[in-house]
Amino acid sequence: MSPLSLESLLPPYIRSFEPYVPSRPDAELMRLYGCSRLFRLNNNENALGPPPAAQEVIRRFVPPRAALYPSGDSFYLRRKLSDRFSMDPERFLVGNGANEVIAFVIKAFCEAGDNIVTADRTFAVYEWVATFSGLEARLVPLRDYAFDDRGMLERMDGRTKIFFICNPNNPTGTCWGRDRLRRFLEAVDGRAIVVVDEAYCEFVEGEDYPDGMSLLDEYPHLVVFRTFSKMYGLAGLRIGYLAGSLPVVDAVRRACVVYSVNAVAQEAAVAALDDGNHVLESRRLVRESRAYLEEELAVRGLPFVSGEGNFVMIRLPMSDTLAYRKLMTRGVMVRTMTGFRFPNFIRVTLSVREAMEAFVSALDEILKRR
Amino acid sequence: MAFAEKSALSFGLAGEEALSLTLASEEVFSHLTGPGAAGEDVRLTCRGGIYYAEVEFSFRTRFFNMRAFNLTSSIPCDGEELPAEAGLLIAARMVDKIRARYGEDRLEITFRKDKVYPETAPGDIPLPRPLTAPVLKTPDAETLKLFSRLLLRHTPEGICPRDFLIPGKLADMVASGEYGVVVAEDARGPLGGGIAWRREGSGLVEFFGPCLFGQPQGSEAGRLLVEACIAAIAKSDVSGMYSRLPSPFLPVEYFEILGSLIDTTADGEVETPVYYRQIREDEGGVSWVHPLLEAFLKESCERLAFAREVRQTHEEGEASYPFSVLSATFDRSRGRAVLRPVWWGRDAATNLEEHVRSILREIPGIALFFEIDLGRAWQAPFTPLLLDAGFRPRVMLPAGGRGDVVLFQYAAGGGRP
Repeated sequence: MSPLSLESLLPPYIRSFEPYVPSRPDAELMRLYGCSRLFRLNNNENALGPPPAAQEVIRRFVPPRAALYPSGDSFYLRRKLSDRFSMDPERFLVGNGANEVIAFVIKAFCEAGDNIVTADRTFAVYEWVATFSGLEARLVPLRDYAFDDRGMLERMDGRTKIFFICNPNNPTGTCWGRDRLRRFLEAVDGRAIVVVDEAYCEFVEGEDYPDGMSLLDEYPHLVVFRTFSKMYGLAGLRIGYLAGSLPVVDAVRRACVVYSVNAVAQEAAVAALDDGNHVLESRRLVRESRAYLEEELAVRGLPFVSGEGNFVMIRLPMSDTLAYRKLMTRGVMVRTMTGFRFPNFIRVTLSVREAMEAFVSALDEILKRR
Repeated sequence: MAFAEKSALSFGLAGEEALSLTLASEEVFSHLTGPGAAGEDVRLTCRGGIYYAEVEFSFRTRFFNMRAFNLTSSIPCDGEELPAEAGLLIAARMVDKIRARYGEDRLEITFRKDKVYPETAPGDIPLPRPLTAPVLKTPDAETLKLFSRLLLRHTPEGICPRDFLIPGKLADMVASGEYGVVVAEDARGPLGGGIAWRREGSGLVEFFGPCLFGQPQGSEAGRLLVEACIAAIAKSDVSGMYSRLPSPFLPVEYFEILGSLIDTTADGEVETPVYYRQIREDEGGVSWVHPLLEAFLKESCERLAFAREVRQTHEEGEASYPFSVLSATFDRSRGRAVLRPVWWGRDAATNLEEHVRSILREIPGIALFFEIDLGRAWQAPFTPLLLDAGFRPRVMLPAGGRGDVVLFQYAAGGGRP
C-alpha cells in the first residue's frame, strides 16, 4: 500500500491551522497538580448549576430512551422558544452548543475568497471556524476594550459575508448599547449578515443593553446566538440556538446537521426556560461575587476589567500562564488570557463565595511568593 | 549532480557556495547509490530558503551510520582506498547545517549551505531620540537593514545572534519566515528599537530583545514590543518563549526565570538568567529521566509549578547501535556551543569526550552545553555520561522538544556530584 500522503490530501488552510487543545479532565488535573479539590473558575459556568426544573428532567430521564434518536430538529424546544419570543418556530435553529451554530452560519453564507469580520480579542471560535474553512478572518482591534464599530465597517468589502459581534464581549464584558447596535445594523444595510452573540445576555443588568431578539423583525440580516451553557447551566449537555428572519434561517438550515442535539439536552432546555427564579438567583450571585472580588482587587491595587457577564478580567504583575500553574497547585483553575492576546491577564468566573475566597487567598499566596 | 548545482545557483548561492553544496550532494549520492549502497529508492529535493539553499536526500534504509557527521570524525587513511564513510564526512564539512529525520520507513537527511553576505561597517549612525508615541510595525527590508546597523553600532555584543549584525542576511532571514521582527518607531520617524523571534524545531520560540536605541530604561517601547511578540505567537501552537540572551530592556514582569547559565567574561564568570514565558496553559506531561537526573527535575518542577509525571529509565542490557551521533551548534559571538544527541550508540561516552576535548581545544573558554529531551526516552542514558564528563544540569526548558529539555552546562572537573 502506498504511504498516506497527508501533504497532498490536506488543503493548505488545514495544514497551517493549529488545533485547540482543551484542558484535561478535572480528575487528571487534580492528580497532576496534587490538589484534593478544584474550583473551576475558568469556563464561566454557572455555579448554581441548571435550574431545578431542568435538573429534575435530567434525573428522570429513562435510560432505555438513550437507544432512541432525539427529535432531529429540536421540535419542542423550538416551539417553546416560539412561545417565549413570540416568533415562528421556523425562525429558530438549535445546535450542539452555540459553537455548532457558528459553523452552520459560516458554512451557509461563505465560500472561498469570502471573509468574516470580528474583533481581535473576543471569543475565538468565529475566527477558528472561518480560518479552518479556508476563509479570511479580519480581526479588528478592540477600542477601550469594546468592539470598534467604525473599525469593523472600514474592513468590510464586497466579499465580507458575516460580522460577528460578541455582546457582551467575552472576555472584557463590554456591551454595545441599543443605538450603537442599530446604527451598525443600518450601516451594514443588508450587504452582509450581522451575528450578535448573546451568550451572556441573561446576566446583563445594564439598562441600555439591546435585546437582539426584539430587533429581528426590523433587521432581516440580523442573526442572534444564544446558549444554554452559561445562565442555564447546561454546558455539559451542549445546547445553543440561533434566531433570525425566516429566509436567513431557511438558508442556514441547508448547512445544518440534524440530530446533533441529544434528547436530554432538548428536554432540559425546555424546562430551564420556565424557571425565572433561577435567572434572578444567578444574577444575585454574580452581583455579590463581583462586588466582593472588585473590592478585594482594589485593596490589592490589582487593575481589572469588569463589565457584564459572570466573569472579571484581572491584570497581574506576573505572567498569566505562571499564575495559572501556581493557582492550580492550590486547587483554583482560571483562564489565562495570553491566547486572547491579553498577556498577563486572567479571566475569573464569578462564582459562589467559597470559591471566590479560595481564589483570593491563592492569589495572595502566589503574589507574595514571587 | 547538475540538478543540485543549477538549483543552488538559481536559489541565490554564489559560485563557491553552490560548488560546496554540489560536491556535498555528489558525495552523499555516491554513498547512497554506489557500491554497497546504503540506501534504496533515493529521492532528491532541492529547496531555496532565500538566505540558503538545501538538498534533501530521502531514502529507505534499515540502518544508516551517521557517525561521519560528528564534528570529531576523522578518516583513517592508511591505504589507497578511502573508507565508505569518507564521502559523508567530506559532505558534512562542505555545508553549514545538517539535519536528519526518520519517517515511517524513510530517512531524510538535509544538507544546507548559507549565502555569504558582505559585512560592512555600520558607519556613523546617530543614536535615535526617545520615542514620543511609539508605534509598532512589521519592518520592510530597508528598515530591517537599518535595525541591523543600529544593533551593530549601538548595542553591546552578545544580546542577539551574530547573523543579526549582517544587514542583508537579517533582511533575508526575515523574508524566509524563519525569524519574525517587530520594530518600534514614532510619527517623527526614528527607529527606537525592535524585537525578533525564531521558532525552534520544537514548540518553543527563542526571542531576542527588546533591543532599544536611545530609549530610557523602563521605556514603554520595550513593553509594547514584548506584547507584540507575544501577540504574534499567542494563537499558534507555540507552547512558550524564552531568551538565553536577555536584554537590559526586558520587562521582567512578563516572564519567569527558569534558571541561569554561566558565561565567562573579561570580569570573570557571570550568571545569565534564562527568561521564559509559557504561552499555552500547561497540560502536564511525561518526562523520561535517568535516576541521576530525577532530583533536578523534581526540584525544577516544584519551583516552577510544572505538573509532570516522572518516569525513570535506564539501560538494562538491551541492544543498541555501536556508534552515537552528536550535533554541535556554535554561537561564537556569545561564546557558546550546544551539543545535542542525534543518535545513541555504545561509543557515546568516548564520542562525548572527544567532542568536549575538540571544542575546548578549538575555542578555549567557550561555554559548552548539552541538551537532553526528556520526551525522548532514548536520550536519558546520556545523563550519567554527562555527569561523568563534568556537565551539570542548569535549566529545564518546558516543552522545549518533544518533552521538556534539560540544558546541561560543562564545568571543568568532572565526576558525579
